[in-house]
Amino acid sequence: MDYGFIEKYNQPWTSGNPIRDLNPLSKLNLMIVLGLSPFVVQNYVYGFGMALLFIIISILAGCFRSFFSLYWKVLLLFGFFLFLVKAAFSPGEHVIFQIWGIRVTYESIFSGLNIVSLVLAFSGAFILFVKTTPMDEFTYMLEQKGVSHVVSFIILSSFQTITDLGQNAKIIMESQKARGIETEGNVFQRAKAYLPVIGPLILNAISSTEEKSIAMDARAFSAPVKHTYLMELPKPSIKEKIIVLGLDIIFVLLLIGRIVLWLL
Amino acid sequence: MINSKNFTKLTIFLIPIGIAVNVVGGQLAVLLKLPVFLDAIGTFVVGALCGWAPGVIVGLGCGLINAISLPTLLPYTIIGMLFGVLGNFLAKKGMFSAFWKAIVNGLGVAFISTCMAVPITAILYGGFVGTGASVIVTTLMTAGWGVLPATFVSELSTELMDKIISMIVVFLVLKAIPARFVVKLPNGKYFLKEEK
Amino acid sequence: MAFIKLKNITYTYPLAKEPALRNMSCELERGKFYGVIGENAGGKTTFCNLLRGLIPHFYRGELEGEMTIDGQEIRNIDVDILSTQIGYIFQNPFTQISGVKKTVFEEIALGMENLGVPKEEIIQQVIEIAELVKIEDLLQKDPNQLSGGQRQKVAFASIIAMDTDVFVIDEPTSQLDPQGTESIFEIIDKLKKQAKTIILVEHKIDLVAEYADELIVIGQGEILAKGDVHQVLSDFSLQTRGVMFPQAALLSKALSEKGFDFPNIPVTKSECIQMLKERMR
Repeated sequence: MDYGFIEKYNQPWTSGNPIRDLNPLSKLNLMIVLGLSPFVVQNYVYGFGMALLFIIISILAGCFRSFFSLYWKVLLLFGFFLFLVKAAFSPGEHVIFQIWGIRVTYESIFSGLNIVSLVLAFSGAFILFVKTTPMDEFTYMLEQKGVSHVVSFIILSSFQTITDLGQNAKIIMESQKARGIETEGNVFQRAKAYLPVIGPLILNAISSTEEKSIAMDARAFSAPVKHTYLMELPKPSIKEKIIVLGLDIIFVLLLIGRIVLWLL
Repeated sequence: MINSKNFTKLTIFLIPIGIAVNVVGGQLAVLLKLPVFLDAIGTFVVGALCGWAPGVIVGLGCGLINAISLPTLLPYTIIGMLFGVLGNFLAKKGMFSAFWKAIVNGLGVAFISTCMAVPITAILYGGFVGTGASVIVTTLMTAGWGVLPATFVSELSTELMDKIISMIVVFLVLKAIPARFVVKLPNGKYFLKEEK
Repeated sequence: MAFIKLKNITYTYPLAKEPALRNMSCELERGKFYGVIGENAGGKTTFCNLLRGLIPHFYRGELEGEMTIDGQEIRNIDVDILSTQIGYIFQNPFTQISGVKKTVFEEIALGMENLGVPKEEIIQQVIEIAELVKIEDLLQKDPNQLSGGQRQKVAFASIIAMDTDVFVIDEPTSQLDPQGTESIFEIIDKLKKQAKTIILVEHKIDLVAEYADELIVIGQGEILAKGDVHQVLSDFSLQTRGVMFPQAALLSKALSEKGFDFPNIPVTKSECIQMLKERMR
């Protein structure tokens, strides 16, 4: 048996990509600062610039595909349709054209561009964080910072349970179909199919918690002992710390500037 | 004699299930092409069985996970968290004990959640939610309605359908959970009156 | 001194009308391998839950009588600490996978992480246990995608990796083929040789008879018999109480009814062959 793979456990976990290997908490910090900065700057060019930056980062991090598989929906729904709705209905003085209840003005177009840039920038930051940060690495860092392992369990278990219940739902649905329950047809027939699937799904899941709790207990889940970790993440480099701190400071300065301008 | 911390142990394991039931329940509604979301059933069930705090955690977790696929949903997380509180409240008031109460719960919850969702949708997104309901909003606005009333009408109509069905499902599920299990949960006492 | 002592234990699950365990008294010693047998729904699993402290602490309900584990009264025991002393493996392999680890390697490591075992030792132990349970080829797999039998082996490995002194094992082979079952018994035998205390619930009586030191027969919530394997299995009246007998014993019974006497009742195949050989001489 080749145990080459255990080398992974003997050293800090890295993927070789400098963006993905940033510490999860650095990534969280950057996501918040960069994603919220357009709200402070309040300039749509900056906001769209940020959105573009996140797309570029996703390419550099080698996760453009998975990033964009979610981001395109935001681009379409909120980059395009939200803009149309805002442009058509927001109030304004300088009318460009008017038809029925629709009234496009300079002001409404700018208000549309503003809100869209904010939504795109924040959404980009959020999706990018999720796509570049494996959840087990994130929860590991939370525990390192003193967060309870129960929180880690709830986060990680939620994702796995979604997968498990999704599979169960498919199985139950197939067997209900076999019993002649209509899953197509008109809306009432489809609605009637919902309960026989979701009911057993929830009840099975709930009744499994008792054994799950015993099983985790058997793994010393609640033992009053300080845990050790198989996982180990690289310590953030000085450069990483400086970049994060620098951006934090810039963000705070921007925020102060915005508040001062607002008060004056 | 019984160690009180064991009461909370089952709760820990019910929270991920509540979150997953929300997500999968929603997926199932999409799969069956139903015009409703049905994505808060787990929050109500956990809130009702385990108390407001676990319910709020389910609402929060579900909101964050939904936001992964559509980050613009994030602001609505606050409403999902409130459902956990409402689940606990309704359990305390014995509102899960009869079918007609499920309808009343649905009406009440739909009204509350609409009142919270409208400001978010109208102010943040100009009435645009990115679902089929947006069509109703834009049609009404084209007809000269203001953004607030237009959003209110469209949200209330979808919420009413959604929450009445959700509360019926919650009622049936809570009714079907065996008493010997419910008795181990923090809110078990609200469900076992008829047994004694 | 006895490690686990039960005196007149009667237990009723919450909201149940009938007690699940009735007037049970017995003593279990350290370093012995106890096989627990008896009819289905007779109280074997409830007995395991009791030994693991889950009764009364987790299941609540009504517990009468006295019971001590390592000298400590069961009602005062901290179950969280007990979990570090008594390993517990049960039937359903699906609920025993944590669902929070990405590989079988990490899954087996989980219990040791929770016990605070240093990383280097964890890695060493995972490899050793994987080789023992013969699941080396699963180590890099996702534990949530395994078959029932594979999960059962992983669950088994995850608990024995924690290296507690006592193991309560409730039907660990329900999803396994004969080969897998045999290898689980070989591992349990190795654990016994390391002076571990083992309480095993298992239907496969031929294997239990071969490996266990003592049998505890449970039926309708009562202890029907307890003692040395040979002694218990020579009482054929237990057959009417739903107890399965090993093939060797049944053969000897059938033969002695035909007037072919055995010096005593064999419980394993090799014993039976040995006796037949001597008899034929």
